[in-house]
Amino acid sequence: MPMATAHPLLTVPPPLAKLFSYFPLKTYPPSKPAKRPIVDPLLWVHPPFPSVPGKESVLSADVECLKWQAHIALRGFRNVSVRWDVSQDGALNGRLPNLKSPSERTKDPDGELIAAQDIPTWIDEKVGALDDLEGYKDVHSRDESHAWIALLEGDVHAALAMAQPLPSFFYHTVLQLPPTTAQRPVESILTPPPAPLSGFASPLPPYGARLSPNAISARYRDAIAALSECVGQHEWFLGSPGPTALDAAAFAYLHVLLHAEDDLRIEVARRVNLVHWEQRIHERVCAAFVPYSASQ
Amino acid sequence: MDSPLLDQHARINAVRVDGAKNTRRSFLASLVYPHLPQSPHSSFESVLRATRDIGHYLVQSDLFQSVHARLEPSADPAAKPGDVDVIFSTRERPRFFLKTSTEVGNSEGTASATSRIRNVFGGGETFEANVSFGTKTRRSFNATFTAPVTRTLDTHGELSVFALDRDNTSYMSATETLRGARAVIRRGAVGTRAGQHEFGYEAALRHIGGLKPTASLSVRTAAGTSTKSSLFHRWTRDTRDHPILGTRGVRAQLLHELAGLGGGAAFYKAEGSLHASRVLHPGLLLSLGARAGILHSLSNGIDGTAPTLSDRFQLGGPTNLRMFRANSLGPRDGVDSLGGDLFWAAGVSLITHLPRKPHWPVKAHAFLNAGQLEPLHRHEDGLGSSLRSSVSAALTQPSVSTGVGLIYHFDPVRVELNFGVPLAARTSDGTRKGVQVGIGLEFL
Repeated sequence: MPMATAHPLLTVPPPLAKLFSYFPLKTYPPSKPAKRPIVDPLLWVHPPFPSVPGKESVLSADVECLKWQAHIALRGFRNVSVRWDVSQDGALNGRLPNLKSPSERTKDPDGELIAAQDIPTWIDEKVGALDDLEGYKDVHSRDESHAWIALLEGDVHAALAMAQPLPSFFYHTVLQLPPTTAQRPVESILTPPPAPLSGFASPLPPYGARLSPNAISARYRDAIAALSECVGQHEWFLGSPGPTALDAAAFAYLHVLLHAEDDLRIEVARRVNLVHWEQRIHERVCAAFVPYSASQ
Repeated sequence: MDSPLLDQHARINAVRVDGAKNTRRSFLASLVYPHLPQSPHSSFESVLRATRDIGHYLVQSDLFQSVHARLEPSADPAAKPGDVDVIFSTRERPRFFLKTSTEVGNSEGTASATSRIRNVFGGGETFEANVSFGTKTRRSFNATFTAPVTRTLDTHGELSVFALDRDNTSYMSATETLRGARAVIRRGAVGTRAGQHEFGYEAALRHIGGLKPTASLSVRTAAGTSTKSSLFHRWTRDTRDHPILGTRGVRAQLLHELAGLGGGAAFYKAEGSLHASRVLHPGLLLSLGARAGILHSLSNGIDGTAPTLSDRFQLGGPTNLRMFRANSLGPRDGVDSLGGDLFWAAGVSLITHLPRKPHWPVKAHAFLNAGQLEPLHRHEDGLGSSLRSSVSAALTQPSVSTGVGLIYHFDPVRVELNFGVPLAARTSDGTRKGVQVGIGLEFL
């Protein structure tokens, strides 16, 4: 069946097109930017917590990036380069982390850039997919892990988001520049979502969110207490035989919380088992990454 | 021959400036006092010379629509014989100015508003603000406060803040946001033999964002916010009698910029341009233009390239290298022009009147353009190329184009409709065969 093709409004007459085909009379090789062929996978993340020069951590201070760092490390990868000088503006969909990986498909020396949501597929391609239990000891634990991850990404993340400093008025309102980090609004994290400020019966269109810092704080404390009980003295959450996605998420939150302001940090620091667990995983995750400049 | 009238004793008893309602007395005094004859034996000639000088500076202050001088015998009861009053009848220019405009052309539509307050504090200060919205330069704001800093009015100080949101997706898959402030001391005038010098400091915050999904890795790694703190000097001299149909004179400009006094960007940038035209035959002009620039980065990014996408040169387009697409020369990564550190461009045009229509502002021309844009640090087989190899590549592999067209001089804007072809090009260059339209202030 013939396919319909779009015709431009004005077409170059054939004699002219033939004349144009002779030009340019002389062509030179293309001008290409300097590139270093990528050999090892390279993860783009938000910067680590500030530290003493020469003793910089390779772990991102952003909980979303750290989740993926932990996930990659706990799946057994080693010598993964990590760089934090790339802005999230340069990331796919404007969100870090991104993984730059050597690509046999594109044959590009630059490799290919993979968005965060495609990292599990990349991991499975490299080290093989997990079984149906996804590393948990049984189906019940696997299902239960979803609830724990929801708890971390709900109550704990909301407390963490509330503790973040407000965007600079000068930077965002006066200069009208985009934010330096992508932060989800707290109201989009909470379950159930908070009521709007305008009230349900208001004739005004809904605006804002009625947030209760005390309620968020109470739910955060309960969540940390529950996490502490869950891990107990086990090596991995839910007594799994090996690391799972829940361990990666839990480590990311615990690591960031231990560097957060006092109100959040103390709630974790007073639970010895959580601190020891975080320290143990911390060493393992750090060992998987090398700073980008040092890896060249 | 000496005139007895000019040698006659005369003395300025008072200088009066009528009609200067909004101008400070101290500012007027600073213009008047340096020109009053100091000798107690002043003559009528020296009075006339002082009157001419004061009148000249009153005109140069650009505060008055008209300045008329007259001499009257002094009305002061204590005046002596020969004492005169110099009276300037002036009419001040309107203080407030507001203009709105809508422009379409050069693949861009713009709506803008400009407001100006003249003589803000009565000392010749000017405040001007401009805001515009467009399809490529999406938002632009500029506010400038200018004031004379010397009595001779040939040196001005300028403070300005600016903001710009530019859509560069046509060649860089990204938008650029610019916020900054600038302080400039400007001395001299462009049309004089010595030209105009500008010394300034600029602090700017640049943001590359809004990337298209197809953006290259080079643009992705360069995205984000960067700051620049720089000192610059610009010298401009334009002695041409006409920007297009000049028969004598030269326009020359030289710009130096040193960034790295704080801020993220650290580089030295130098750029020069030259334009001259001469009459070959009545009605036939030869126009020559050349530009060149070099950017030397004083710091390197983590991957060996300087992260100064906003600072690099771009080349190509109807105003600088005809028959090439705008900013399409130099290093390219995928669909993105990354700009270069070294460029040159030169053009020669023959301009003539339209047959039997020499008075029309439309002229015909034939042109030959050449130029190239190169990176300074290029890694080939693991080795960085030197300045010498970059210069060599730029000179031995020039992109060249030729064609004919029409020029419409719509002062101060110049519009061109050209038909031409590229003669030599890199395979990565964006060429344009056939018709090309250009609108701008300065063309090659």
